[in-house]
Amino acid sequence: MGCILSIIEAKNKKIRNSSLEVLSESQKIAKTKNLENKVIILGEYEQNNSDQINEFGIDVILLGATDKIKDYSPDLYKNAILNLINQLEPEIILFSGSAIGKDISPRIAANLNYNLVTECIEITIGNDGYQIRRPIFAGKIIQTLKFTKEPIVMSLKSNYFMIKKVDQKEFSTEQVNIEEVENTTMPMLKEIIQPQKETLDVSEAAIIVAGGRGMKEPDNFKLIEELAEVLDAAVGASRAVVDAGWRPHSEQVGQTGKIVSPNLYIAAGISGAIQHQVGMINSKCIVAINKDKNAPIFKFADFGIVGDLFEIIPELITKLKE
Amino acid sequence: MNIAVCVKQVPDTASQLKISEDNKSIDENGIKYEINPFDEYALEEALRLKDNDSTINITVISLGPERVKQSLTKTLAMGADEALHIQTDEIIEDCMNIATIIANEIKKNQYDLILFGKKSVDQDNNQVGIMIGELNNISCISNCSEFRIESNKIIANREVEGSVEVFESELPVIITHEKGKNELRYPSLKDLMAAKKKPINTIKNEANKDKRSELIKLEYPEKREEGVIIGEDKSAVTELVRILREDKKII
Ligand SMILES: Cc1cc2nc3c(=O)[nH]c(=O)nc-3n(C[C@H](O)[C@H](O)[C@H](O)COP(=O)(O)OP(=O)(O)OC[C@H]3O[C@@H](n4cnc5c(N)ncnc54)[C@H](O)[C@@H]3O)c2cc1C
Ligand SMILES: Nc1ncnc2c1ncn2[C@@H]1O[C@H](COP(=O)(O)O)[C@@H](O)[C@H]1O
Repeated sequence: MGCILSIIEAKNKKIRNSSLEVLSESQKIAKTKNLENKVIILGEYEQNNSDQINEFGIDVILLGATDKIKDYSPDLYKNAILNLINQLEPEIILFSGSAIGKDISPRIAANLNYNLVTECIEITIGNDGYQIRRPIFAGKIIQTLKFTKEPIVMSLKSNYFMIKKVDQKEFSTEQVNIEEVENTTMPMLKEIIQPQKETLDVSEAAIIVAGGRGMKEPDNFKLIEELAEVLDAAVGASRAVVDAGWRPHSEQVGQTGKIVSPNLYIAAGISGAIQHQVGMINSKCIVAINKDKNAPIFKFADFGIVGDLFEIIPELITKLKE
Repeated sequence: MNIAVCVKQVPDTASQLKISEDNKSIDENGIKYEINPFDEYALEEALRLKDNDSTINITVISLGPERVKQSLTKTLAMGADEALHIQTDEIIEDCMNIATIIANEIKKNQYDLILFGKKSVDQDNNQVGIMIGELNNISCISNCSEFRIESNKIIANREVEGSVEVFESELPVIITHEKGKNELRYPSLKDLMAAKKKPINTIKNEANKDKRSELIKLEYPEKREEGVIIGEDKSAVTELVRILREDKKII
């Protein structure tokens, strides 16, 4: 029986959401193609946390999570995954589109001379194999690809796949050897800089409140922060305010920032330029607040309020607190 | 120090794209081509190193059709020393093929630092730079927002979800670059004239293509339904909150 191998990331002793999306998809593929569903868990993970993982139709868990591998190490991750692939010969390998997935998947594909298709948003299995849909040109176009050569490596775009649990299933667990490699030419992690304030990242938030040049000055972003706090949301920004130094680049949404798809995106004082639009157009619900009724953002927002954000946002905060 | 910067030519990010009749390609008519934005940020980092150390030599490398020369000329005007055009008539989309072709050219010279964009905004692959690191056995730090060089070492900040990872590596190293903290420079007319005197070496790509996937079709994403304007001032807020709470149930 062939197998599918999913690379699963754990952080703070929990499986990350982007990896739960991978698990949901891998069980679907395993079932359709009658493959053994094997997953390797890397990172910081506690095994008795199994309630999180026993409803994804997994057959074998390969536990690579140890103290040695608590933080990301391209070197250790690469070797652990390559060893497993050589051993298991999976016909399909799934990664998440997280920062780690983006870094490690090309390393694996290049070492094996496999094809890697990143940012997949849909996988269908037909008589002639796997077909993948993925956005290109920042989502202006969707392409459908067919693999002509196996095995195949894919990474899934985060926030696109539903996290779906099935029935509980027994699985076996094996410990994977994590070996240090000598004379490696890989970079080493020296330090992780945490933000001064514990903030939610736009790429992982269910709600984003974003501000643009209409905020007038950096200090006024206090309003956006307050609204974000009430909604348990992340703060986002247009490039105009990031370039002006008002906000950090990690908050930038758009073509040269992050591509996001939260449940709710509130844009205040953002005109909706094409490069911003491509970064947030896949949000489930878009609310725009802008004083110019002809602003492009109203062309694709679900709900708009034409007016002065300095009146509307404080009112919104008050009403939400009620 | 020798630096190489790999740049890809892509349609201007403001382009409205049209799918050709074959449903498999983009209609090139009327498209303005630019340097991939992330590659421009990467080049800017190289140029800033050169600003402080004129002995640095910067080679810009691009794989693509004849029109790529125009972008290479721009990089020379911005301050790069030489350019290598790996010419292909057909557009290659398979990343392993692109990576292999460029990796082979990179191997022919001793570079201390090789810069890439973190991704190309046309194909959104996020992989070519990292693959070349593996193919040529060169240390690679991806998704960097800034880096500094100290003697024979590089210290680079990698942007990840919610935090920054600081990686260290010996040279030579490959960096794939995020949008940087530095503003881009724009070449003057004088720079453009001077660039005409700098060399663009052209070689024809002869590599065999190993086809790993096949494009079935291109299509436009589903259109969003037209939205509604709830109101013209703060009196609309009550209704907005009701919609989000009761109709949409998202807050
Ligand atoms: C290669 C490239 C990449 C780019 N990448 C990105 C990207 O990743 N992300 C991005 O955002 N942009 C990007 N841009 C820039 C983009 O083209 C726009 O310049 C930018 O998005 C504009 O930001 P903005 O909407 O905040 O500012 P503006 O366009 O100046 O809009 C400000 C808006 O605020 C409104 N306003 C003003 N005062 C008030 C008030 N009191 N109340 C309510 N509304 C008010 C105005 O009506 C206006 O619509 C990129 C551009 C290029 C060329
Ligand atoms: N045809 C090409 N010519 C030169 N550099 C390229 C080419 N394709 C990709 N690159 C480089 O690889 C990076 C990542 O591209 P991609 O993997 O396609 O997202 C780009 O930002 C460029 O630096």
